[in-house]
Amino acid sequence: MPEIRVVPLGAGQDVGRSCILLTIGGKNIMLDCGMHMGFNDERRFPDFSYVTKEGPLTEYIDCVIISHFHLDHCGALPYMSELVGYDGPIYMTQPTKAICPILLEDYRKITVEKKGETNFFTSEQIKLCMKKVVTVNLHQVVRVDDEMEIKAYYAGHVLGAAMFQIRVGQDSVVYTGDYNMTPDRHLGAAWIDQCRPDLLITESTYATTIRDSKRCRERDFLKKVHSCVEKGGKVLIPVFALGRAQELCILLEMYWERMNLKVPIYFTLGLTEKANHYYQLFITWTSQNIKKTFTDRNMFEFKHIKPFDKSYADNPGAMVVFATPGMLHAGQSLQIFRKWAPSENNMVILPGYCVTGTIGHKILNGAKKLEFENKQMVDVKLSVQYMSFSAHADAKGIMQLISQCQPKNVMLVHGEDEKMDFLKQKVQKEFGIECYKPANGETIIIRTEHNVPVPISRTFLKREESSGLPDPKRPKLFHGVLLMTRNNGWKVVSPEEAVREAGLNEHVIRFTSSFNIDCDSSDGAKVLARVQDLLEKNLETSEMQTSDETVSINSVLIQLDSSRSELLVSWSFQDEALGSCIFNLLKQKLSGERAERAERNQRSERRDR
Amino acid sequence: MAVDDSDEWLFSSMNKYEDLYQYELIQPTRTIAFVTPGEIAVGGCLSTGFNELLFLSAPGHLRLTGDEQDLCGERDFFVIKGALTPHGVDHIETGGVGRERTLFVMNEAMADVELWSLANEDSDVIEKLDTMKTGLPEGCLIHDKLAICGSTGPQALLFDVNSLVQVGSIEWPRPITCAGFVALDGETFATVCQSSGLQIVWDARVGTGSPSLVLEQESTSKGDRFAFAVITPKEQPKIAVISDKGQLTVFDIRQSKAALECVDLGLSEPTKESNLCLQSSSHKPNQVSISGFGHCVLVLDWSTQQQLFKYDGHEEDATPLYHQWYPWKEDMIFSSSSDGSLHAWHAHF
Repeated sequence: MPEIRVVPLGAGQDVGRSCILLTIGGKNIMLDCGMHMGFNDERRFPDFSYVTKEGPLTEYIDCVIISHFHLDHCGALPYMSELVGYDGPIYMTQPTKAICPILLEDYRKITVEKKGETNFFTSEQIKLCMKKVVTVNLHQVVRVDDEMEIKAYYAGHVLGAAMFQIRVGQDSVVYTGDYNMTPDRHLGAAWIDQCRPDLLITESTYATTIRDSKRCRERDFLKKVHSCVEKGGKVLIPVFALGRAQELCILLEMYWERMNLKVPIYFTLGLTEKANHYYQLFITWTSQNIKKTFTDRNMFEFKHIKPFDKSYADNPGAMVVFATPGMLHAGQSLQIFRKWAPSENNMVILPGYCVTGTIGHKILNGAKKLEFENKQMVDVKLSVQYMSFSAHADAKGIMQLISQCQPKNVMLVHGEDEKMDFLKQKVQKEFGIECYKPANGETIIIRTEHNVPVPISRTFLKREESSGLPDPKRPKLFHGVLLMTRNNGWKVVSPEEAVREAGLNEHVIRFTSSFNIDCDSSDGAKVLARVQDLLEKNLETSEMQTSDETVSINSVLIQLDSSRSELLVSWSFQDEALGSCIFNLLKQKLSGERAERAERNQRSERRDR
Repeated sequence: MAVDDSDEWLFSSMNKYEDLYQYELIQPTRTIAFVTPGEIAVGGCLSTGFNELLFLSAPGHLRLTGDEQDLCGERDFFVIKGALTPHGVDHIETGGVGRERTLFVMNEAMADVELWSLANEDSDVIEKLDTMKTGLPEGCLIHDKLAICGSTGPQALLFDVNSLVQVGSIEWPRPITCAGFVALDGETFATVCQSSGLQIVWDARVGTGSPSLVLEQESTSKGDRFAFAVITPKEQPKIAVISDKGQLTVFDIRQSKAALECVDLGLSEPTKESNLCLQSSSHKPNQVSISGFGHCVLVLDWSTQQQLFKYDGHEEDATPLYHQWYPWKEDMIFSSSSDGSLHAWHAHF
């Protein structure tokens, strides 16, 4: 029985180090290869020993697919390919290929140079890893080998994020990575066609939440920023170079323009150049609005947002600064924070997740004093705000995606909740399909059914369906012969056609049954007339043939043996159903009549006595 | 940069609302039950297909204040538990002594009250426990040990919430359609007839004889449909009644036949599909809120007849279904509409 096997090495009932091993049609695919940002030891990487205890993974993995550039989906890629060892193809979209190495290098610098770690991948290894990348376009069918093909669909979420369909023979799986079913200001919404995969592996980050509307979150953000700068305060927004930063910049630009605000907005150099460059390069990956207006005006060239110089941090008066990196763990954002933290008039808005140990994480947990190098203490008096702008599908979005692609099974990954019984119940009730939520290391096996398309002879089809060609939407059982020839492939034909084409002698098998009836030699004609009458009344057929001694329909022959008071019914193997039906009918009626006559005679005799 | 319609909303809302949260449920709800501080229950009210019964944890922003609220980025409801029910949910009550973590769910199509348990910590599915066979449609209040059931007809029935056995009945002076029941204290309850505005207060002490009527008086407001709320139930209880003609009347329960205030609010007549709803603020006893007239929710000071706030965040072509003051944050109101929207907003600006 064909089957699909899935085992999450990361993101099974967890968020972080997304890595799913998929076995389909004898092929092994690794879906994503992420790092867990919450750990500093071996737990930050997926456990590749599930694939093999030692040695490279190349012979065990047919391909790797990376959904998008977030480090929890691609952060372990250079470690896997260069330190563990993998030389096969790595598939991703072009924006992902362009941006991945930048984020990997940034993170490598912090881990090695700031934290002093040694067992980590090098810059050279990142480059070697990226050389194995094969880029894919949206909706392009890419043949990985003779049996496997993949296709990417738009996922929203971040620039270049894609959902992937993997097909091997008749089996197919869709892996979503992270996606968003509602459009952003700078990205569109995820979309997939009715591809009916055997399995949909979907993220479930917000599966048990009912999200506040995007416009209310934006409103809250704008109110807080405006309120702070109106009082002369400074607002620091630590962000990563690419991702939500662009969304917030477009939002602030629009607000500043409409409100005619003069307070300066900056973002740190490096951020401006990179973002602008990539969003222009990959304009087709952005939202409809941005694409539509791009010829008139580039939405990423802001009128109100200017490049930042570190000397501006000491300028008096209100300002807003977008600075990297996003968790205040190093760099310009941390330098600015140290200057502005002691003032109650200022504000820091953290728009995303902060890993344990970072300054961002500490202040979100209420820290009011922070110690830096040389035992320098900084008072945290500025207002600390956390606002989540991450773009993931909620329960409604997940149900929408299932409705769009119509899978036969669903698997939930990338979600922290162990309890998903209610969502599973909803999926089962709404769609009538199974829903799984495996933990890391737990293997799920999905049995698949294969349909084998085979040509069928028209003559045979018409013969089986007397009213013409059958309704293709309704299943019907046929008995035929599957004929396979060297030159003509295979087809389903009637037994007679098969015998003829194969040049075989046909053996005919006939069944004969008989039962006793009450008659003598002069009743023969009456009995046959009675048989004829019964058949005409009970069978919808006009192909009855009669003679003095027999009645026949197709190959079914009914004959009276007057000498033995027996009615014989004989039929060929092909007419088994018809023959049995006629035999039982005649036996029931005619034997029954005989029994009734006997009963009447007995009653009459008793009355006479 | 061009500003489109959705951005226009952003700017107009900045000048209208303080805090604002807007959620979308899969099915609309006409009931919002506040279970414990920070936990609410809602239920889909569609007459076909399956409806979701949801037990939700309110977002941090609606549970916390001050610095704690700022540090908590949560603006989303978390689904603690859920269940699918084939009936539309009309009303949810919670609790009852000895029935902690139990939801009492009334379905419009059924004459019984279903009990659903929130107790199982190993699953996020709400389990159906039992059915209270009342034989009467709609209308239920759970108060300590007592459930009062039945909204239409010549009587209401009293049940013990633990044994689910009927322990008494209340005979109305004439058949009425109750617009709900409100407890004034452990023994005294109030109701108003939805079609005539008749106000009834009765003493429901069980075991000391049949429940007795304390107050029965005709409405002085004109109208064909009425809704009511009780103001300061424990201290100097008053009944506020709103009619579909837009007349608001407030009575002191102890001084019957004397209306404290009676005011014509000048509201346009509600549609037949609208749910007339009147609620009182538990934090500010002079404030009431009204929905069912158009798509807005109005907040009034009944003593000065001043309109304090108007919430118009629901879509104009949707029918408002229900609203209720959030008991754990002053001036917050939850409101729902027929398009599945569930909004939480600050009743002042």
